[in-house]
Amino acid sequence: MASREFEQELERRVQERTAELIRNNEFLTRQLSERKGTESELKDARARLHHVLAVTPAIIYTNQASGDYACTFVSESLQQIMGYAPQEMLDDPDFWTTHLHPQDARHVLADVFRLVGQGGGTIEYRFRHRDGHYRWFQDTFKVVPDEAGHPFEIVGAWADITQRKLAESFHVLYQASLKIQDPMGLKKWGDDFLRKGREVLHLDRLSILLADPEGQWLRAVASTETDEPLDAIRVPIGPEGGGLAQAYLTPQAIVCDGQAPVPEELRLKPPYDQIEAFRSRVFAIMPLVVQGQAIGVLEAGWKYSRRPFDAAALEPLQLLATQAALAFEHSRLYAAAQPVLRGSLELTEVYPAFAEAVKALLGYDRIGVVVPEGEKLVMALSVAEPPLASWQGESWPKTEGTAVDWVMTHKKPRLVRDLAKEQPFSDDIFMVQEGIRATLMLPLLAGEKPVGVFFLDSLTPGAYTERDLELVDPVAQQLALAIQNAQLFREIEDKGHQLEIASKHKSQFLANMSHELRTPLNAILGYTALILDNIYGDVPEKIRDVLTRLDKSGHHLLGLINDVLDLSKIEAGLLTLTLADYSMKEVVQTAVADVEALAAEKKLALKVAAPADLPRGRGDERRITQVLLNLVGNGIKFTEAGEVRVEVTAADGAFLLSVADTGPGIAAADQQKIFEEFQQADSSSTRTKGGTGLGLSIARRIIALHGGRIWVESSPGKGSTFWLKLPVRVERQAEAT
Amino acid sequence: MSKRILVVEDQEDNRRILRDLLTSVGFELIEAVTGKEGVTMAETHRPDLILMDIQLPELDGYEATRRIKANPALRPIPIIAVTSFALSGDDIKAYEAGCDGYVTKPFSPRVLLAKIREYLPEADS
Repeated sequence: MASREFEQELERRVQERTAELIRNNEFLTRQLSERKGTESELKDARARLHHVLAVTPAIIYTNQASGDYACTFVSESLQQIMGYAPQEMLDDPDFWTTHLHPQDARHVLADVFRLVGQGGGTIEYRFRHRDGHYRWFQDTFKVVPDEAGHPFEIVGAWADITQRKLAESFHVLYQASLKIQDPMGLKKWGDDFLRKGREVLHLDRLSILLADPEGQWLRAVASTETDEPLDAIRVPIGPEGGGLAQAYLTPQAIVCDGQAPVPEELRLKPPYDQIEAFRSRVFAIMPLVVQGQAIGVLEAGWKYSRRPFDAAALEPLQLLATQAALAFEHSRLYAAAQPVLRGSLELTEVYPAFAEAVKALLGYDRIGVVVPEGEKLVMALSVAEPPLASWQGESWPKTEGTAVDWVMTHKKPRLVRDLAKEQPFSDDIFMVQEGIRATLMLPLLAGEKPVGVFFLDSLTPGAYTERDLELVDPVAQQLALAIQNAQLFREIEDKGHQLEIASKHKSQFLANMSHELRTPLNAILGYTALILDNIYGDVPEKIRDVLTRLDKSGHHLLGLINDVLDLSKIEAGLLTLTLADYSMKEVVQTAVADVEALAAEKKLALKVAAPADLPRGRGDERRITQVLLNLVGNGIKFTEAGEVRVEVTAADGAFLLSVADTGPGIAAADQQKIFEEFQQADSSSTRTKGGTGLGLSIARRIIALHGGRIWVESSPGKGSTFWLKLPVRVERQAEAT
Repeated sequence: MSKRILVVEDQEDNRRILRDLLTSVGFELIEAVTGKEGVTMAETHRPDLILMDIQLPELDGYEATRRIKANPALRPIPIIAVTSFALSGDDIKAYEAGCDGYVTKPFSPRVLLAKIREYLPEADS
């Protein structure tokens, strides 16, 4: 990755400089301690000193080691690095103190006094450049004693470590960017990032623009220009977009140093030239590039200053752009992988999405995900580049002493820079045989529970660093959650399947049970009917009376068994309607014909009103008849005098049936209860009026399965009317309620 | 000559009830206990009508009906399903299997006789 190489390069340069400085210091110290030598020797030494100073990319100085610590010498490089002439510093005894960064001044002075007492040391602080901005320095100095051994002079060197400090502070932001999980987080990160960038780079303005997926606009995702709304800061990707679009398209950095007018092709065209965030004459535009692909631009400019951009300022800006590009790309990939990783319960979808996400983040020769399955480990995902082979689907017994086992049990990542040099685990040797040199292994943790191990292998030694670990960890942990979700889902599915089987068993049991109960009952009822029909000879009146009661009770018991079976089937969701065309008029006639005798017996009038032009219905005819029969039967059962009236009409695609009686009526409090199982308005009526107390409950459910509704209007003493609203055409069974 | 009815029914009591009822009105009865036996007896005895229970051992009533109706020589014999399966769809299944009529248990003797006479109108009684 570019930023890492850049950082390593910085680090290396700083170290080189420091080593050089120390060598120079020692040289100087030796020279200076030999001051009592001859004039010519002194002259030689001075000549050599000047030579050394001329080639040293640092500021060398000497101070008095007592009194006001006045500067006695400072190298010419002060001018070049900080913009001050050496004489300025020599003339002002407070020059150094007054140019320290206010935040650093206090501790720096204390540190200096302490270190002088110890004979020398190294401190870091910020020092103000002539143009007003602060640069970081590493100040290494040594106290040179006089003949008597008292502190005589301080000899020191300043090394400019601004870029290292920059890299450090941006790295903190970069770290934060890895944890961004949502667009709001990205926005906040962008703002922090730019604020920090503006502060360290001493810019007036910084904006980050990303290309939209259609490739038509560059839109600001963060900007330090707070006077205009973010969505107003956007330019088209084309000639109107000037330098911004050009930097994105080429993708090359564009710098206008303010020394000459801005070239025509880099100017924003109206109305985009009115965007305040871009109204600078001194500006730099860096493309945000990820794996050779531009994703947007970073725009930096001065609103007030005309200080030109120079190489020194561009370098950190480039670094900033690289960091921003990576951070945004990372969060974009993260966001893209998120729905799949988070939303999918199918691991077959999750693994490819995960492999894609990792591929965009890090290079590898092979990646894999190992998950435990019982006593085995299974390679759930393996993507390999030739010559390495994929291990997809392979499985092997769990073994102690393997790297996978270690990562799972310790819940810690494992990073090996070169497997050829160390193979602490039993399985490492096989990896080396395959040619793998670097490996990175992460535990996949769902909460505290390890659900697997994710690894990246590379044929290149040192391919992975601690930082790569941080990079892939958030995605890996998303995978861990996805694996856990999928496992939980599978468990739930299994449970559901078991329940389904249990429910089928229950339904089978009920069917068997009902058959077992009905078989002997049918024999009882069959013989009774034959006796009553005089098949076995004439039956005396007394016995006939008892047999009639036996027959009635038997039929009641049979009704009870049938009702319980119906209800159980409805509850188990197993009652399926047999949908077919029917005539509502016939349904009404069938129901009425069934109970006509009953009504006649009680001397009740049974009236029917149905228009001739009723539409043809569609539904479960037998079930609808069952419901109507129940309602009419109830009406007759509970009414002692008067009438039971059945009426049916059709309007707005629905049949409206009513069964009105002149019975005792139902109190308001009981009107809901009667539709529940085993409830009758007056529980004593089960005994006096018969019935199972299940009829209305079953009726309500059957009507609900048809997508209809049943209700009652009644008041005590004024009879009851049961209403039934039923769709004329029922094409699909509704959910059971 | 009295009409011959084959009763396919595994329950002894149900067979007896049918026997008592049908012989009392002059039918000749032959009885099979399993579905398989029912098919065999239909082939060997050529009854005028079959009363077929549905829940039967070895071969259920639907399958026995299908096999009998698959034989062109037996196809004209009316088959009435007699079952305690009073659930939605059972009648449709019975008709699909080839049954000509359908009666649910417990049946009223008069209803059953009326049904039988639909198919055997000249029966002596």
